[in-house]
Amino acid sequence: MKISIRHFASIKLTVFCLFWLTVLTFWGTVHQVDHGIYQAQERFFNSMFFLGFGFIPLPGAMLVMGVLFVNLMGSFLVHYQAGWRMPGLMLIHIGLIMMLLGGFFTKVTGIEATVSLFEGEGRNVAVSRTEWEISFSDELHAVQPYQAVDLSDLRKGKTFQFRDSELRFRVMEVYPHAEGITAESLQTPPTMAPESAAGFVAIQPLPKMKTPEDHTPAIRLQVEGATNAEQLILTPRDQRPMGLELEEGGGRFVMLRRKRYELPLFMELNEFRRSYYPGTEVAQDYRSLITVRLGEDISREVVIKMNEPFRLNGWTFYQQSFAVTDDNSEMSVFAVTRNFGRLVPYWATGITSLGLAMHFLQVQWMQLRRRRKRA
Amino acid sequence: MFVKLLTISVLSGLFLTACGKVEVRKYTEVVQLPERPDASRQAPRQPQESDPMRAAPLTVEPIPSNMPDDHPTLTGEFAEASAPPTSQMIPPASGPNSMLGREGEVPPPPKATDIVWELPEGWTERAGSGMRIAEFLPDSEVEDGLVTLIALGPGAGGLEANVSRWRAQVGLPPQGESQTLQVEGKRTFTFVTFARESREAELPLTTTAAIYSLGDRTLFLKFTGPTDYVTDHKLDFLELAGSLDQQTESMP
Repeated sequence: MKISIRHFASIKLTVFCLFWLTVLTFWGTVHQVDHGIYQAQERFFNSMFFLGFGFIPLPGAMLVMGVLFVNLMGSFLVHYQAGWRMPGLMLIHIGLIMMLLGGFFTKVTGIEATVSLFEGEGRNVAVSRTEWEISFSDELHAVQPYQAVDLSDLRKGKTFQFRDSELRFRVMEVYPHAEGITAESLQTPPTMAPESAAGFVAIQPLPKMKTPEDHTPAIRLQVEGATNAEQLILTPRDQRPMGLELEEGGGRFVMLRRKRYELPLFMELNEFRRSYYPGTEVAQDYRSLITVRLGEDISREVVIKMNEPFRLNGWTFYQQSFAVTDDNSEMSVFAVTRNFGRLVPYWATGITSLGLAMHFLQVQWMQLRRRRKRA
Repeated sequence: MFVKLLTISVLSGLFLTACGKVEVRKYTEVVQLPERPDASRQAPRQPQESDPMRAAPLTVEPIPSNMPDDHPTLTGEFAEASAPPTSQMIPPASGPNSMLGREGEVPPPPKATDIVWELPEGWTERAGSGMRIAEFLPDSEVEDGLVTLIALGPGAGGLEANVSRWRAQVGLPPQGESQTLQVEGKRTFTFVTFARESREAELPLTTTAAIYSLGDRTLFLKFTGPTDYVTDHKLDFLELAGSLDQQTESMP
């Protein structure tokens, strides 16, 4: 059977995709009641395939959206012959394609993270809530270049290597949520105990939690090129980076930690204030006075408060939360998002609406003209 | 038709991106830590009229879990960050959500400015970097024989695992009869050597080491080099190992 572009442009395929998305939305909504939003998203919406009822492979929303995009493009190229004689239809298609592409762009490039600062503290990185990385550095200075690999990119058997060293790592085990096992809890301790800053000799997976923020990943790596380790176990329980001594001399530090995103600025918290409604314990207002540094000589003061975020080059900083220590030091917590395609859905909706209005008016005008001709 | 198919293929490929390669990212993290709080910081500030922070005077002691109705729901991490006051300014990372990604910064990176030693006569010393605190050369003309002082975390893989690895590095079977002694110097250390085995096996290299457990870290003073060279400088090495000490701050 010869597959042509017309197969992709089938209107039946469009109807099926839209129907299946409706099913997924309903199924996901029901699923999240017992399993939480995160698990529902992961299973139904962020997946290409998932197992229905435990054994039937079914298409996930990512696959369906991809097929729908191809279908829409194909339909546009094959069926749409009117060109700009029907500008409304043209705009509707452009608007829908923009919406799908905007969603995909946001999915791929969007970031959600946090920055937490004590008064007087400054940072240029945001920390992911759900993503983890293996960081790699030769020192641990206040201004420290790092190399890092994302834990989500690692699978059993994969290898990776950082520049500027002969160290090679091979993934032996990696789990998104796991616990470490100490030698005392094993009946027969392993003959070759891996290096672990937390004292673990093995790791074992745990069922996923309802919220991804609660996950504690773990990874076991085989190391080549280090004189003080052949295997490593890295977990969030490690109190400090693991030191690896290189065969060629010198050393490197590796650590499993929450993923860092370099910000386009250095932000320093000058002061954090909070207030409560009089006579209540309900927070009325949080606000942070920040010095934003964009370069050696460019800096300005910004107040970030609830519902009044600070925006810069696609990044948005929201006042999120705070913590207080027993010496009365206050830590302000900012939610940080990056969404370069933030305005795309607005543009897409506007173009689609304009297209619908134009098409409606054009059809009305054509019918009116036809009636006049008949008369 | 070809152009149409190519367009669809390229766009589909972009849409269904699935890259199997492990990407190495690079970034520079800049951290400016706050100065230690002093008494003057504890006093509530009197706001000025033009102060942008004025709208939020301190009123009552916080009960952090209370948020306004329109505030975004706090997830586990933030809820925990808003938990009642902790006992340290930057508490130890006791779990993944303990301090909003501050794991690895606490306790502070292992610095070794508190480790002191006396250099044997004729030896030279070089500054180390990272976990390597220092390097020592018994003879500055002979680069093959090098003593390194390294700081690792507590435990650091255990004595047996380290000795097995060192034996394998010089060509000895991992399991053997290494000489292991507890030696009293300024700090008690475990002295390990397999120079005799290396000589009997006619191996070109050997290792001798002193291992110190200092509570918060483990120090390794490791001498690797030609077998005869290490044997010749064994007494000097023991002198260096015996002089190594950790300075403790006296209370005011």
